Amino acid sequence: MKKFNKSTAVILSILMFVVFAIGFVFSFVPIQFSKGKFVSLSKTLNISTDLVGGLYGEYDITTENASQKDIVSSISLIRSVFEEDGYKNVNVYAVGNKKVRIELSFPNGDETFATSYSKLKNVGAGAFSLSNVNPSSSSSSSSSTTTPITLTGADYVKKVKVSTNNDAKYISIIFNEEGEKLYEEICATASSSTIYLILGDYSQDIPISSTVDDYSELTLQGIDWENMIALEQKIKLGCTKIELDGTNANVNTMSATLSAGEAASSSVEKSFYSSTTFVVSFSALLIVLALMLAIFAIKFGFFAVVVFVSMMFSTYLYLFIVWLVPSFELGLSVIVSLVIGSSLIYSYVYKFVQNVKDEYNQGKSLQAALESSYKKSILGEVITNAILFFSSLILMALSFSELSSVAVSFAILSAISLFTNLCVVPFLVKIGISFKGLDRKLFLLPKRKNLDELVFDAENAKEEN
Amino acid sequence: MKKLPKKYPLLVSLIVSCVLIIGSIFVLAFCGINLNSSLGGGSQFEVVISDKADQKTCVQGIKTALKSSGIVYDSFTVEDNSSAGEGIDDYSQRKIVVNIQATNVSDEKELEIRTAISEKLEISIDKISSIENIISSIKSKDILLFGLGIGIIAVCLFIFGFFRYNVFGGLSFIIAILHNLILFLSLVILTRIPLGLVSLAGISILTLVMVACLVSVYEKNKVESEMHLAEKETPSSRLIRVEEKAVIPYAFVAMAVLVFSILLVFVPVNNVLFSALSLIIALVVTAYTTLIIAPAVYGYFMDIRQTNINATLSRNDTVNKVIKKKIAKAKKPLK
Repeated sequence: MKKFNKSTAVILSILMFVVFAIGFVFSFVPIQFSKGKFVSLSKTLNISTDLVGGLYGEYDITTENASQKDIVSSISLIRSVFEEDGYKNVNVYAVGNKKVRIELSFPNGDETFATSYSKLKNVGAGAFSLSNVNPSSSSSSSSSTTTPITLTGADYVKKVKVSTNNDAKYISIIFNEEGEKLYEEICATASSSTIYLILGDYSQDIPISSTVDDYSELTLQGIDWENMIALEQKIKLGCTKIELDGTNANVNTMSATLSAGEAASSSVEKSFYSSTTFVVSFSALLIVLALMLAIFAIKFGFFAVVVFVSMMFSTYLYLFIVWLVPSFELGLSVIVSLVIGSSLIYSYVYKFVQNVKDEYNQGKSLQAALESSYKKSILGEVITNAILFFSSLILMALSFSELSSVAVSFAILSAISLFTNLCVVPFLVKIGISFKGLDRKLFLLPKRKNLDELVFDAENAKEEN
Repeated sequence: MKKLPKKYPLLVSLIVSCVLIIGSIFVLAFCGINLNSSLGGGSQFEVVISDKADQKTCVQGIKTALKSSGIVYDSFTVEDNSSAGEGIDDYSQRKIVVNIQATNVSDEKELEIRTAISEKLEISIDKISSIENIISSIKSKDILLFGLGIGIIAVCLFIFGFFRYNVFGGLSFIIAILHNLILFLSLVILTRIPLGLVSLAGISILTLVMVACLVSVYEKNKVESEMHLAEKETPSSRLIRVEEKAVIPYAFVAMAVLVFSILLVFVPVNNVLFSALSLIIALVVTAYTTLIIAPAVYGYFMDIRQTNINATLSRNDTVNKVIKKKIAKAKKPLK
C-alpha cells in the first residue's frame, strides 16, 4: 500500500470530491432537464405497503362454498401473476371465504396510478374458457345441433404467456394433457371453423386454421400490444378456481399501518411523512449509521471521515444497483437487511483499522502496518463476503414475497461490502497518508518515541524495579 | 479434571437449548404457533366511518373497545378518501381495516366486539363487518422451498468447511445453522410473539452473519494453529482465545440490530412492535449460537481428534521420534 506523492494526492482528492458531489446530486437531489425531470435515485425506490400504504383492490368471492384449498390456490395464482408483472411485494390474501384483497405499493418511476389501477381492474374479469358453441346463441337458439364442449381454464390450462416469433407477438395458451384432448375435440366439433374464447360475459370468435396439427397450445394473434398484455393477464386470472366479482370491486388508495395520531392523506408525498412506521424505521436506520460513525470518530479520530466517505459511496452504489432492479421494493424487512448489511461493512473496516493499530503498536512503521493488515484481512473478507453473496443468491432464488427483496438487498450489500473494503477504503487511506502529518492523525496513533526517550524510560523502569 | 470446566458450558448450553426446544414442541402441540397476518395469521374486519369523523378518535375508540374485549390488535389501515385513479369519486364515508391476532373468533365474541365498537364510536352495528380469518396466499410449498434454500446453504457450507478446515468445521456450520433456526422458532413459540416475514428475514440474515463470523474465527484459528504448532495448547482453548478477538468487530452488527429494534418499539403499531421483539430474540439466539454453541462443538470435536492423534502417536516409536524432531526444530526459532 504505497502512498501517492502529494500533488497526485491533491488531484485525486479533488476528483474524489467531484465524484462524491455528483453521486450525492444523482442520489438525493431532483434535477430538472430541458426534456424532463430526473427525480433522483432515492426517489425512484418503490416503498412497500407496510411502510407507506399503497393501492388496494377488494373483490367479493362469488363462488358459493369455495373450499379453503381452492381459495389458497387462487390467491397464490393471483400473486404469481402480479409478481410476474413486476409487483414483487404484492400482498394478496383472502378474508374468510368472502373476499380477496390485493395490495400494491404506490406506483413509482414509469408506472402511473392509472396503470396500477387498470391492473387491479383486470382482476375479476371472469372465468376463462373455450367452447365450440357461441355462448350467446347457444342459450337462445334451440336449433343448434352441436353438443357444447367447454374447456375451463382452471382445470385444463397449464400456462399462459406472451411469445414473440419474427417480430410478431402472440399469446400462447398451453394446455395440460387432458386439455390438449379436449381442445382437439372442440376444434373437431366446432361449426364453421370457429371456436369461442369466453371471459366472464365477454366472448370472442377465434377462427381455426385448417392446417393446425398441434393441439397442445392455442395462439391468439392480431391484438395490439397494450390489449395483448391486458388480455394475457385477464386469461391468467381467469384460470383461478374461484370466481371474483370485478364489476363491484373496490379499488382505491390506502394509508400505511396507522397509529392513532396519524391521518390518511390523498397525497402520496404526504403519506410518506405521515406514516410513523416509515419515519421511525428510516430514522432508526440513520441513527444506527450515525452511532457507528461516532464510535469510529471516538476510537480512531480522523478515520471516521474515511468511513463516512466510503459509506456514502456504498449508498450511491446501492441506490444505483437497486434502481436497475425495477421490481425492488423497500419494506421494513429490507430496512432490517440494510441495518445488518451496513453494520457488517463497518465491522470489516473496524477489523482493518484495529489491525493497523495493533501492528503499529508492535513497532512496525505505518506503511508496513497498513500493508500487513491489508494482506491479512484480504482473504478472510473475500471468503466471508463470497459466502454471504452466494447464500443470498440461493435464498433469492428460493424465497417468496418480501423475503426475495431482502435476499436481493443483502446480496447487493455483501458485494458492495467487498468492493468498499478491498478498493474504496484502501484507496482513501492511501490518499490520506500521502499528506504529511495526516497519516498518524488518520488512525489516532501515538507519536513514536525516539531512541533517547526509550533509553530514558528503560532506565526509569529499572530504577523503580 | 482440568478439561471439565471447558466442556461444562457446552453441556449446560446444550441442555438449555434442548429444554427450550422440547418445551416449545409441547406449546406448539397444545397452543400452536402465532402467525402474523403476512403469513396468514389473525383475522380482519372493517369499520365504516363517516368522512367527517375524526380518524384519530375513531382508531383510539376501536383500540379501547378491543382492549376491553381482551383482543390484541395487529394493525390499522385506513382506506383513503383519494380520487387519484380512474373513475374514482369522492366517498362520503371511509373504512378502517383492523387486523387482530385472534383467529376463529366465536359468534358471541364477535357480537361483543362489534357492540363495544359501535357503542364507543356511536355508530350502527351494521357499519362493522363480521370478523373473518385471514387466508394467506403463501402456500406451504413456498415455506418448504425457503427451507430447502436454507438446507442448500447449510450443505454448501458443510462442503466448504470440510475442504477448508476439516469435517468438524463443516459439521459445526450445519449444527450452528440448525441450532440457530430451531432455537429462534422455539423462543418465538414460547413467547407467543407472532411470526411474520420481518422475523423470518431477520433470523435468515443474522444466521448468514453468524456464518461469516464463524468463518472469521475459524480462519484466525487456522492461522494460529499453523503458527503455534509446537505449543501444548488444546484446540478448544485456542479456539476460545482466538474467538475473543475475532468476534469483536461483529459487535457492530449486534449493536446496530439492538439499537434499531429498540427504536422500532416506539412505532405505535403492534405488528412493528412484535417484529422488533422478534428481532431482539433473533439477535440473542444468534449471539448465543455464535459465542457458545458453534465454537464449543468444533473445539470439542477437535479435542477428541487431537487426543486420538496423540494416543496413536504414543504407540508408534518411529513416528514419535520423527515428530519429536520436528517439534524440536519448530521450537528453535522461538527460543
